[in-house]
Amino acid sequence: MTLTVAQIISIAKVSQYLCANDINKTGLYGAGTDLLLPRKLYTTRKDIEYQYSLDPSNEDIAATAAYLYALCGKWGLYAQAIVLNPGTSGGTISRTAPSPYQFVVDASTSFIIDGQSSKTITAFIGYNLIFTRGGVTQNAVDVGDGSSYYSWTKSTGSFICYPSANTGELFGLFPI
Amino acid sequence: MSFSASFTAQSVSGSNSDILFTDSSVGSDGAISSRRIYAITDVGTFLVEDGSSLEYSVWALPLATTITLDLLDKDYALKLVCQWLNSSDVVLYDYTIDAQGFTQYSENFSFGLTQMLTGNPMLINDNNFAQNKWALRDDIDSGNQAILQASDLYNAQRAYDRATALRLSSQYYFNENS
Repeated sequence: MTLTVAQIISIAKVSQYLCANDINKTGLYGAGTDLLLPRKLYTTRKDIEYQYSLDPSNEDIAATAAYLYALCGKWGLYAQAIVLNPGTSGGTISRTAPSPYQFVVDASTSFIIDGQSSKTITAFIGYNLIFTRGGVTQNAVDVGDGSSYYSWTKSTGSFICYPSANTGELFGLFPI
Repeated sequence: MSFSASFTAQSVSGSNSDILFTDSSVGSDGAISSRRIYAITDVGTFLVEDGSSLEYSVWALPLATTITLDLLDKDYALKLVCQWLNSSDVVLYDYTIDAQGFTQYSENFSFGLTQMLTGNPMLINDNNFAQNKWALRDDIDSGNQAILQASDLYNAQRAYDRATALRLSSQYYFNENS
C-alpha cells in the first residue's frame, strides 16, 4: 500500500507525540533514542504541510514526504495503525447463544430424567443460566425455606437442581 | 439588490512575492464604479507594486473577480483593506482583514532545507543546521501565533523579520555540505 502525502503528514503528527512520550518514559537519555527527534519531526512536517496546503500536486512533496516517513522510524508504524484505522475502539465479540432446553421430565428419555438432580451441560459452558421449573423462575441460592433452587457453574457446565426432577415437571434451561 | 462587502487574500504557490485577492462580496450595487486595495504594514506604510505612486492598488471591476498583485519583497504581517467606491471616489463599502501573515518566502526557504535533508539525510545530525532550521520554524510559528491570537502586526513582523534574517544569511547558518 502506498501512503499518500496527507496520510504521511497525519502519521508524522502522531509519531511526534508517540516518540516524545517514549523518550519521557524510557528514563535517562531516552534509552538511546534521539532526544531531538520529536522536534525534527515537527519542523519537517510543518514544511511539507504548508507546501501541501498550497499545492498538493507539487512534484517535490512526495520525495520529502518519504523522508519524513523515514524519520518517523518505529513510531511511524504505531502511528500508522492509529491514523489509518480511525474510529475503532476495541472489538465486539459476536456470539450466538446455544438453543435452550425445555422439556417435561419423564422416566427415561428426557434431558434430565426422573430422580436426576445433576447434569453437565457442556453446550452452555461460558454462559449464564436461567432455570425455570413449572414455568416459575428458580433461585440460584437456597433461601432456607424449603423452596426449590439450583446451582450453576458456567466454567464447567455443572448444573444441580434441588430437589431432584420429578416426572411430569416442566423444566426450562435458558443460556444467556 | 443589497451589497455585502467581503474579500480574501492568500499566498500563491511558487510565487513568493504575489498575493491573490478574491472578491467574495455578495450582491450588487450599480453605484460602484471602482475598487481599491490597501496593504498596510505594522508601521503604517503601504505596499504597492513597483512603479506605483499611489498608496493603494487599483482592482478593476467587475465585482466577482480575482487579482494577483506583486507586493512582497519579504515576509510581511499586513492589515488589508478593500474599498468599493462610486464615480465620485466616495467610499460606499469597505472590508478590513485586521491581520494576515504572508510567509511564503520563509516557508519556501524552509521547505528547501527539508529538500536538502531529503537529499542528504545525515545533515539533520549537524547541530548547527538543525538548530537554525528550528529557529526558522519557531520564528514563522511565532509570527503566525501573534496574528492568530492577537492580530498583533508589530510582533508578528518582528518574528517574520528574524526568519528573513536567517534566510538572507543562509550561507552562515545552513551548511549543506556538512
